[in-house]
Amino acid sequence: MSDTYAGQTDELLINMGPQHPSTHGVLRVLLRLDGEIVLDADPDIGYLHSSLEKIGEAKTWQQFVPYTDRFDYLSAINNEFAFVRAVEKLLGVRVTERCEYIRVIMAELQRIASHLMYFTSMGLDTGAVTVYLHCFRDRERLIDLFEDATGQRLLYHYLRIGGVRNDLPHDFVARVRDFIDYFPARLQEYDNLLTRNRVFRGRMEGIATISREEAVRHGMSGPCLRACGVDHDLRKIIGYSVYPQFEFEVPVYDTCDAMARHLVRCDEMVQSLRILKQATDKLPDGETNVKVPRVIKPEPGAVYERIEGPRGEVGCYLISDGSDKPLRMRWRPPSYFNLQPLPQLMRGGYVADTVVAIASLDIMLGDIDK
Amino acid sequence: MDLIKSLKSLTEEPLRRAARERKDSPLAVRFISIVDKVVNTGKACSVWPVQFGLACCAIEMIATAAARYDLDRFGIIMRPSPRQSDCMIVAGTVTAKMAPVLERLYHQMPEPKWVIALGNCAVSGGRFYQDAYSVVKGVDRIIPVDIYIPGCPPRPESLLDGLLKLHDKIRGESIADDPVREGIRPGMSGYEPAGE
Amino acid sequence: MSDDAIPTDLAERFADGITTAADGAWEIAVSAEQLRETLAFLGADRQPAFDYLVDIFAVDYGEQFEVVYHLSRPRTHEMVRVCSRLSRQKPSVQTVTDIWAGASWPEREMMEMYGVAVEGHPDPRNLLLPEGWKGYPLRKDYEYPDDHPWLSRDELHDKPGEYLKQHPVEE
Repeated sequence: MSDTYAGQTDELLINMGPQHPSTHGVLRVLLRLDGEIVLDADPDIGYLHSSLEKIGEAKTWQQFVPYTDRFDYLSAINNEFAFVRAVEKLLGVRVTERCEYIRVIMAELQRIASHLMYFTSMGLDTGAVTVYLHCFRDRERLIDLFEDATGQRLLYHYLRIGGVRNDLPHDFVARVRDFIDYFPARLQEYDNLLTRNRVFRGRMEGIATISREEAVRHGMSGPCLRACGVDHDLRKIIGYSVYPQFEFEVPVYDTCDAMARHLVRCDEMVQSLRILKQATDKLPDGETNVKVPRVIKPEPGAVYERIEGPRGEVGCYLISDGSDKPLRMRWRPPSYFNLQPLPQLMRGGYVADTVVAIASLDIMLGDIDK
Repeated sequence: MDLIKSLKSLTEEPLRRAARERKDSPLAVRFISIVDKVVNTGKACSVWPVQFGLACCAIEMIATAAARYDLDRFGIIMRPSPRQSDCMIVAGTVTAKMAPVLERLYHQMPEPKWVIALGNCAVSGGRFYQDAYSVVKGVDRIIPVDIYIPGCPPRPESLLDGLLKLHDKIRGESIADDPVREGIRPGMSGYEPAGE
Repeated sequence: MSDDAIPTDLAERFADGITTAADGAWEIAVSAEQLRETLAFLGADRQPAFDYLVDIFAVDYGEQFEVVYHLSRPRTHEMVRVCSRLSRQKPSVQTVTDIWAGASWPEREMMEMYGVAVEGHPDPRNLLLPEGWKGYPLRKDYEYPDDHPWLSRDELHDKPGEYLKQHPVEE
């Protein structure tokens, strides 16, 4: 009996998701396995497709701003940033200096909050369950800041066309400075818990690699691209808003694996603290909002606005035909393009590495499925 | 299987029938209320939801389970599989592609089970009511819902309030109620009591 | 985006066809026949090539469709926008998945949302919509599926004023 079956193996087709105990959302991956080795993977998306591009054509320009929050709901401010800047470009409106500084402060705080959520899901997916509670302790501190400034915990609708919703509370800057003093010790803690953990390193190093050329041709951006040795960060390259006035570095690693992406995000948090320190020191006084007509009807034209979100390049392409609603609202999500090469990342690895591959890309299904 | 069924028919059925028929007898009422209290406390103090976070409300659900608004103190442990859970917290937008999956997961949960619709999208479609061609307008079009928690996203305190209301609902159930048919429970619309 | 002048090789090749748009991108309008050739030049033949695919999507202008390709180079802020108008009756383009592997998903999305046929695509399934979805949702003349039991919008919620007129609330 053993001779008849010697050397014969069967392929197994396994369905992973769309409901699975990971925080990335409703992603379904069809895995073709030979024992423990993944031969092929086919991601199936669309389980959260909320027809947001159609809604973009049915709502007015101001009405759509809270919808942009919900694309990538962990980096809501960055999404609003892209949309609001695009509309302001169409209108030809320049916001005040104070508004730009406030927007950058909020965007960097949001970047740290988003990366803390990445730590949570990375820890949970690799089995390090304690990190979740540590990260949420710090995330709650950040959320307290956001709640005092914007009134909302998660989806703020804070950046508006022409400015921000309201000025910062009087003690906001002091509390941000407290956070900047408090956080580096926490980063050290996360380093000890995860980054320097031998088990974690064993699970991440050399896993889910993609070559630099492939990453660029796929349109990957953000930490995924910077982990492949390409120092492409739109905050430095385009220098939108007031980012050129700050000194910060762009962390780049070139091992192209999951550990590199993790290290890029760890270092990005340190750089965000640097930007926050400079921004809070230099925050100018003045008005936060400029006057924008009540019914916005931009001149016919099209504009594409790109900004650097925590997950990569967020883009918003708006076409105006002179009416009060967009003709076309196209969202360029970073996670959409980051997720496409998933088969390449998973092929040849073990089943246990599939989870690490997905988690290291730090995708957000609200973005992907629009 | 047969042995279990026959054991059940020997013990459970007569008990329930007796409870229903002699509801007015003080001894029966006393007995039923004691049993109810014990059973319902057990059910309420260990509601194990299946992790069904779909969209933004999932982040608030996770935040509620974290250290500040701890869920574990209520006995609530998130389970990865529907087969090991007795509550489904639908947190997020349900789309036309996800709806059959949701229904299948609901049927995979064993009785007794409850459903909480968390967030505006699960309650009624929320901000997607008007123009979204692919969003289900409220998860109660697919499965019966016990608790509705509005908000976009609802605060963790709202979710805790909803869960405590679910506890109240569970404690209000009784073994003297009509037997549970899949998904439809006394007090819900669509409920028809078993024939006399 | 780039406020630099248009590079000489692009200016020579496209002459009047290339302009600098309001947001700084270099916009190239081509006909449907020249589209594939232009993209192959920009993405493969030209040195340095525009190998960073930013986005691919379509727009419904009413009488015509337009397909837009956003291309860039990493580490630079140069951006090229290639637009091509297609007829509404039988819109079709050729795939560019051999030039940019990341074009696979945006092209699938274009196929299911607008009905723009992409010839030669290796995997023409629906991406975001469930299998068997009728109609092309992002077209301007798409009819909302109001007869679907899950997706239908209640009269009460959709047009509350009219509903209340027909069913007045008794005091």
